[in-house]
Amino acid sequence: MASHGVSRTAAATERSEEARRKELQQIAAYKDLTDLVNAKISERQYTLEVLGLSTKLLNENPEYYTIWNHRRRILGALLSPQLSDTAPHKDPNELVQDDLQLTFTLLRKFPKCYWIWNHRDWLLRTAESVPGASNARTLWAGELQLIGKMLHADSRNFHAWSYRRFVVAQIERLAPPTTEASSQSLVESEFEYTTKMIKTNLSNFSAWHSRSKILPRLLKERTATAASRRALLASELSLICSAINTDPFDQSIWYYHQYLMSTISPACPAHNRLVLDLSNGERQEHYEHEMEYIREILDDETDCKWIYEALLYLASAYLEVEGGTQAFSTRDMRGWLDQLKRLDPLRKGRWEDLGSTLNV
Amino acid sequence: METLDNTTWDVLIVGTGLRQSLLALALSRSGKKILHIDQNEYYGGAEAAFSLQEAEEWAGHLNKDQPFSNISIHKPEPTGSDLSAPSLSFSRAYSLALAPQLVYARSSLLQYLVSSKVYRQLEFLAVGSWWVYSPETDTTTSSVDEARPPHGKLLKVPNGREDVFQDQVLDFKAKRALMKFLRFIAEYEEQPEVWEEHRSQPFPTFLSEQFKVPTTLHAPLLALTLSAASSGQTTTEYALPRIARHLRSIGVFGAGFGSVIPKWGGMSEIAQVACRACAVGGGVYILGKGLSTANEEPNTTSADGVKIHLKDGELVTTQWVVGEQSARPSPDDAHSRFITVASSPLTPLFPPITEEAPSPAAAVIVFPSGSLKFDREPEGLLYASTSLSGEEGYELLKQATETLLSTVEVSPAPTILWSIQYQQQSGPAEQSRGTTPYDLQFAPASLDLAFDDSIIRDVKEVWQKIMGDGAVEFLVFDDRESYADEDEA
Repeated sequence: MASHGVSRTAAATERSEEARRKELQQIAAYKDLTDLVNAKISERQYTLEVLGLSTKLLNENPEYYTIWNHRRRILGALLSPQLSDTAPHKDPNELVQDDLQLTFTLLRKFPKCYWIWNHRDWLLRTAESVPGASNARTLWAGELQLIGKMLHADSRNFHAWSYRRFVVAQIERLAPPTTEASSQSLVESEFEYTTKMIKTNLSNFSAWHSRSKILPRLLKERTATAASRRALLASELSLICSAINTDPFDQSIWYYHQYLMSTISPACPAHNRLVLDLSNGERQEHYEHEMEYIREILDDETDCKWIYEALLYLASAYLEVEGGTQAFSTRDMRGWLDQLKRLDPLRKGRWEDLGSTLNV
Repeated sequence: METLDNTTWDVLIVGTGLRQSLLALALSRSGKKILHIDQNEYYGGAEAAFSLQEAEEWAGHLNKDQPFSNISIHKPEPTGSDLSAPSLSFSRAYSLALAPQLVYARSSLLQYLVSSKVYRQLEFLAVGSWWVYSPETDTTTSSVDEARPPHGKLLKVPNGREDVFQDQVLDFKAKRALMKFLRFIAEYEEQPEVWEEHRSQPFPTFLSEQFKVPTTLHAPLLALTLSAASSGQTTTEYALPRIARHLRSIGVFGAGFGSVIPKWGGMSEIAQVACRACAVGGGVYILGKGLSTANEEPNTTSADGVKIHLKDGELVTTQWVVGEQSARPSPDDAHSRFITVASSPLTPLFPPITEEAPSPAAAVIVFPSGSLKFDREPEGLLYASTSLSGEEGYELLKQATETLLSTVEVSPAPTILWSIQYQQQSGPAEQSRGTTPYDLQFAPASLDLAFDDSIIRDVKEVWQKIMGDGAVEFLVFDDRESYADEDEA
């Protein structure tokens, strides 16, 4: 599986006979361990000993999600207040910390394993109700720091971005109720964060996506007026215009452009709109402006398929808002469609479908 | 110490410049008997690094056969009795590298330093921002202060797409043209049809004609080539691989930067570590010992090798002799150099690279006909270099240095505390043989401001000749002692 165009290192090397034998031993040991853990779980032995066995197993293979499920069963039992006094047990807080350490170590090696993120999330939520556990807010604040570091190591890890949104939501939920609502919210700082990440690397789908999630909330919290809403939309359009002009070949930039266009469209539901009361005249102006600067790029770059695609969608959006137009002709649209077919022949069917939808 | 007279060796290496030292490193596990001598009392040869005092001694009495000439030192008298004005630190705080070079992240040198395990004894610092000096064209500023040197602007050189994105000065057309060129340079080898027929064309012409890059962007792109020649004389075939090397190195070790410098003492630090490795492997090191001048006639050869006289008359027999060609004096191959100690760390030249990136330790500033490199650490040293030789060269460099100091916005205005100027000769870039097939000569030290991988190639060639069939892997060694497992990268 390749990630962001970088293939995982293949382990296909010639193995000596000795290495092969050693590997067979390792496989046998692994299978024994798996069988043991599964057997103990089916006997409901939710003890520290089995917890330890599962740790060993998960260190070897964190992708085996069933074992994570088993582990949560064990922890659930060990953390419960009705533990029998005869069984050896550990301080609940220590159990939580141990698992945080385990998942942290594993995340550094496997930053994209769903199950580790999942377990960590469960852990923190469970920890909130563990007596003597660190203050929940401290835990979640620590998570934000961890996520910051993980995103620094790989800014395009969507697991980390998704987890970040979740962590931010928890921190906001737990903020003391006495403080002002606006100071509880992390929306402004998260908005800044996406700006920073985009400036570091324009090709960051996740950063653009997060930004799109933040914008409506940002406007709401700023109790933005109609004027300031328009101002924010204008500045976002200007930002993306700058990005498109810098690198029209980057798909993630166009992706955000599509998002902004979707908020302008009359079909946009109320809760997603950036400007709540756009008139058709304003929409028309936006479409015209976008088409104009994008067409200009064709002067220098004739082989960029995203440009033609964007022009076609803008043209059709424009036509829906305003029937007749001087800005472009059906012949123009047919020309763009032909370019798309030339540049992306593998999707010929899709372009022809698009053409018939647009009556081109 | 016992005399060297009548001793027998497998390899005699003359001079501890970078090439010879890397060769010594390459041979350090071969079991060959190596004698490595240097006529100087210090390591590093033409790439040596000096404290201020050592530099003054060096200026005072230069050994023959060195590629340096016309050395002079200036120590301006402190004006006024301002006791709070910054003054020179103690001599050893400064490490002046005669051959200041940066090493690109993608350079094979670094990977060989790792594979040969000597990297453990080396520390590298990041080279941060690159700047281009742009003379102020605004002549309407009142009070033309003649005593004050010209004061222009320093423009940051973009390192790639995100820098271009954030630039506020360029219009969209200029950004697109620049991006088109950057996209091309990333894989220029695979598009020979675009540039091959223009290879000898001056690079600025190529930029304008093939990519419509506006002239305002020529200087930053030329800066990336670190060309010692003027813009009109820098050819396309010279510029393209150098720019590609720069851009491909960005981000390899961390976001935002692409090259490093050795922390102490420039390239001589690498030479010293290499020699140390050879000594641990059994090599014998003698400083202050050169070849005798009486070796001009063909030496007697026997089955054990060639007989050579050392400076004090000792006769040694060796299978191989490896030395360095003398640089023949020729104005075409001479560069002027000027090293300055500035009174200020010139902080505006060092905006942080990115958050959590290593803090930049050096900056490169390119002027129209020369370049400067400023080392913030250990102590602020300004290295200036140009291909113009003689008095003209010195004047140019002095002016560039003073202009830079007046352009950087620091208060109080920085001054020159100490400076040294010298001329360095290079020579033909190819290796040659001496009088016999066993006599190998490296080319003289390079004048390039960036380490060029051809040096590694030359060292490998000599190593292969010496090792013959015994040549296994070049510069790949195991640790001599076991080290604790390091974190997986």
